[in-house]
Amino acid sequence: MASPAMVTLISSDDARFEVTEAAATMSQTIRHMIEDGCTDGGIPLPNVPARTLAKVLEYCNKHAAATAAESSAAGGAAAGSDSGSSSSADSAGKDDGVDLASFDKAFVEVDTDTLYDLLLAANYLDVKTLLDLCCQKVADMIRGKTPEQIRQTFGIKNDFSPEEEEKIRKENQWAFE
Amino acid sequence: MATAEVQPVLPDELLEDIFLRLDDAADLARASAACTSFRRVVSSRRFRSLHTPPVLGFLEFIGVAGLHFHHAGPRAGRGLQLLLPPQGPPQELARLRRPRWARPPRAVDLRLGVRGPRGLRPPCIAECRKHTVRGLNLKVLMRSLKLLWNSGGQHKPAQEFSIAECINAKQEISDVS
Repeated sequence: MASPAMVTLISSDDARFEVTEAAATMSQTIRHMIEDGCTDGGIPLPNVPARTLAKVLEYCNKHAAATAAESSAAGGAAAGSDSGSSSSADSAGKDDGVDLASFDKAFVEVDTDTLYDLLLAANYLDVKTLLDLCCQKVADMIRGKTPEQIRQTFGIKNDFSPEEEEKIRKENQWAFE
Repeated sequence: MATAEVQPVLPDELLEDIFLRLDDAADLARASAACTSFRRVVSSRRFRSLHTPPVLGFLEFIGVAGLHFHHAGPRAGRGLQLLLPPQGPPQELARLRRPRWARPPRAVDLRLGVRGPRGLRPPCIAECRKHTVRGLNLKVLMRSLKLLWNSGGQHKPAQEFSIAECINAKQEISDVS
């Protein structure tokens, strides 16, 4: 089998990343760029710094490999989707599911700055599953917290005036009990 | 307290995506008290139209002289569950007469209301603009539900109740529970 098609991605700070097309096209934004033939000399991603892009690609590589392994385990001759790491993974698709879930869980165990960067990058790159994962993580972090705890967790400034805050607290008294 | 520089700026669409995952209205209310941008998103007309309130449960008419409250589930409507007295509906509600028309609605859909011109409201028997729904006298029902709410031992302003849409929901009761 031929070696997988590769594309080069260029971060906002000019770092170059070589990834499989299968991983890169988990991003709908990149997929469209490839379809439009804008890949010569690499695909510039001016909104994503290298640090974040590396993290996003870690996610895409993992998921693309899992998808490839799944389809080769299921159908055998799914020639289009290929990945270097899929050769060892044709044994069990459902183990991959568990594996992937724990990968995802660990993947978003990061500081809030990184989580925000990932959110913005996933949104810009349009990686639906990653965006879901990050949004869910933030929602989970909000759940059960007081407004003050939410501010502390996410480094948010309280920009209400004291009067406004008092009013909101009164309005939503039921939620603070 | 965090400085303004630290304050992360997420676009409203992402905040929306995150807040939509908070199915407990109390979490939503507390999040909206964290800062003005959170509040703006949560209290926007658009968000409120997206965030379908969860079903709290149903009121079923039993025989000629009573109502039975069915919880939709442990996750839905924690707010109201807290308020229900353990021994069941109070006398006032049990005495609520089924109206005299031939085919009364079997159940009232109690949705957790998230509404209000500026912000959030407590869990409420969601609103209905008409005073009667399929012949049910909602004024009577509302009065009884307020008693039910207040008898939960919490001091909630009674006017925070309004009434849900009325549905024929025999099968939905089993679907949800």
